[in-house]
Amino acid sequence: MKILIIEDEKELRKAMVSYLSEEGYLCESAGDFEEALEKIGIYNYDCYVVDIMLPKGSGFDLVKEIKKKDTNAGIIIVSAKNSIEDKIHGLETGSDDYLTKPFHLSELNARVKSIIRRRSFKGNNEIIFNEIKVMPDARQVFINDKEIMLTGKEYDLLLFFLSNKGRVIPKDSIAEHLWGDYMDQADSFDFIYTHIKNLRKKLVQNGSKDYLNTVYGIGYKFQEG
Amino acid sequence: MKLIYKTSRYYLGYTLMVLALGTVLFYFLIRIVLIDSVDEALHQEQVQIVENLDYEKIIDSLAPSPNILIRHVKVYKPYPEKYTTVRLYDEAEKELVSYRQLKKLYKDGEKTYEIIIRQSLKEAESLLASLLPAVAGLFLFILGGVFVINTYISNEVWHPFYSLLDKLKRYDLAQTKIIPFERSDINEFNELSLSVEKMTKQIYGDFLSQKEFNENSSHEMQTPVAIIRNKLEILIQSGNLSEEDLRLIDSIFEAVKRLTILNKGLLLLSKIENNQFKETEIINIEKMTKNILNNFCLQIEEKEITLGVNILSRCNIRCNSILADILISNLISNAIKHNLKKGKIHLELDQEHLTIENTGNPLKIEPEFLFERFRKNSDSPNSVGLGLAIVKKICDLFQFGIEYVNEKDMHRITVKFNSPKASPPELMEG
Repeated sequence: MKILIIEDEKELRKAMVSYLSEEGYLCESAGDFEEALEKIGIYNYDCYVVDIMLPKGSGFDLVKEIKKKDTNAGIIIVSAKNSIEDKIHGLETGSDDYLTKPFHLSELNARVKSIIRRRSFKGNNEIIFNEIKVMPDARQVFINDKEIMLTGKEYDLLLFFLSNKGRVIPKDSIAEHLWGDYMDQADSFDFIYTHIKNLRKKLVQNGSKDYLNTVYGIGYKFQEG
Repeated sequence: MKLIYKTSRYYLGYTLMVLALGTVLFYFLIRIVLIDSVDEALHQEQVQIVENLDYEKIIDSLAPSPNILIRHVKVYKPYPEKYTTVRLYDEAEKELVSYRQLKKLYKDGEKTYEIIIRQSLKEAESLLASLLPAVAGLFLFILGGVFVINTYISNEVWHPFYSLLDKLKRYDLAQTKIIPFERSDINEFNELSLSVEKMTKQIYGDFLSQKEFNENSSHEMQTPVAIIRNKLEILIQSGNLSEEDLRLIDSIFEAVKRLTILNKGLLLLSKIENNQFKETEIINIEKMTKNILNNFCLQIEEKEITLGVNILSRCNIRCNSILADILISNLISNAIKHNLKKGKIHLELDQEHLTIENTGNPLKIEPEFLFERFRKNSDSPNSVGLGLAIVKKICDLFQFGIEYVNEKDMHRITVKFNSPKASPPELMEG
């Protein structure tokens, strides 16, 4: 899987490349409009992460270029402006998702995964992690082929963990993923703990191993062992 | 008091004073002149009588007319001509009448006579008495004139002033921007209007640059914050971090989170100020409130807060949906954040009001500062002091009223959707 990251801020670009490379993606990056245009012209990627505000050009024009060439590629727009117009404009020009800066890398990772899944399997995809199987399109979860019932938030949580398996996920990333901007006003994330406890209980009770690890103070890690 | 009344008052006061004083002076002056002329007439008459007496034989108590009395006096005490005013009973009129009388001694050989000549002052007095109504009439005439002229002045001459005043009253940086110069035929008003134009240009310019600064600084802050956050995320993936390292990283995460919230809040405020939420629609506040409460239910449970929701009627408000959502969620999250463990929240909604009441520690800041930026009442790490400032800004934008009441340990915030503040400002006449 090849990903092109178009971001003018060097350190952010490096961070994104570093995080996504760890996931096994082949990441390339472009720091300005022209470099991006060149790479889009020469190579093919499965997914593009496009910053809207670029020196010497707009990310929207790049999205149009990508769409002209390859209609099957996934596109995530990244914008510093949390504006509905940008979001709508982005989706109209053919991008699949929209992220507002600053975002968590775990969030970007989950979005990239979700897009690639949708693009590559065209609806017949499933995520398998040992005895756990998730069918994202039907929002179903199976343990040892037996379906288990999760609440909407628990399902989202599990999918988020699976997308970032083996990585330490900061707790505010989890909170933001599940509750969005509402979390900005929360004075503590203690309630997330309760939520995760419930998910863990459901998984273990239905025969799954306990893959959820608490990383001291910071967050959680979903991994084997 | 209106300027025109104030000046009129002085004019009228002065007029009244001059008229009153003038009337008194005038009265005495005329009186003196009248009496002088009466005295002159008396004197003439006396001269005539004395001339006559030189020829005629004097009989005791000679009375050639009712107003002339010549009598013999025994005691001789010489005195010059004596003019006095006396009041005597008038048989015909049956009342006391003022007379001017002249007394003079006349010596005829050994005998001394006293000549008394009198003249009624009735006519002179009636002349004086008619002076007062004339003056009063004059005063009323001036009064009427002052009013007519002032109304004209107020309508015509002061028109540019009142029109400018009206514009200043309605002045709103975001809407009016600059009050342009308007020429009038009065130099002072031209100067005033020119100064107002210059001043508002200056203010608006400062406002724009400050707004731009706010916006730019918030935008510029985003990238470094994003870098710190993302680098930390990569850092924590490393397997060989000690517990102490993680503790440090956790503190950095907290700080970055606060920065992020602060940054988002400032950006939101500048967006509202820039009027970037123009689209409005009819919003079902009841539904929106329920959704938001649902999103917060875990936090409410976590703090073991008792939640009471009382929806009295449907509530549909024309507003921007994003801002309405921010408004209600900020209020609810505030009620949770500043609540006590096992506290209470009571929410009431009808067509006109949204009231959120919560238990909490007493306010440490003055209530009037509650809605100002960076006025924090708690030491909560995730409280940056922008939540209520944003709430206030949204309320101002849609002309909702907002009110805070503190009763013992209960804090109540009410949003009035149909605020009386929405009524147009009072118009000046003229």
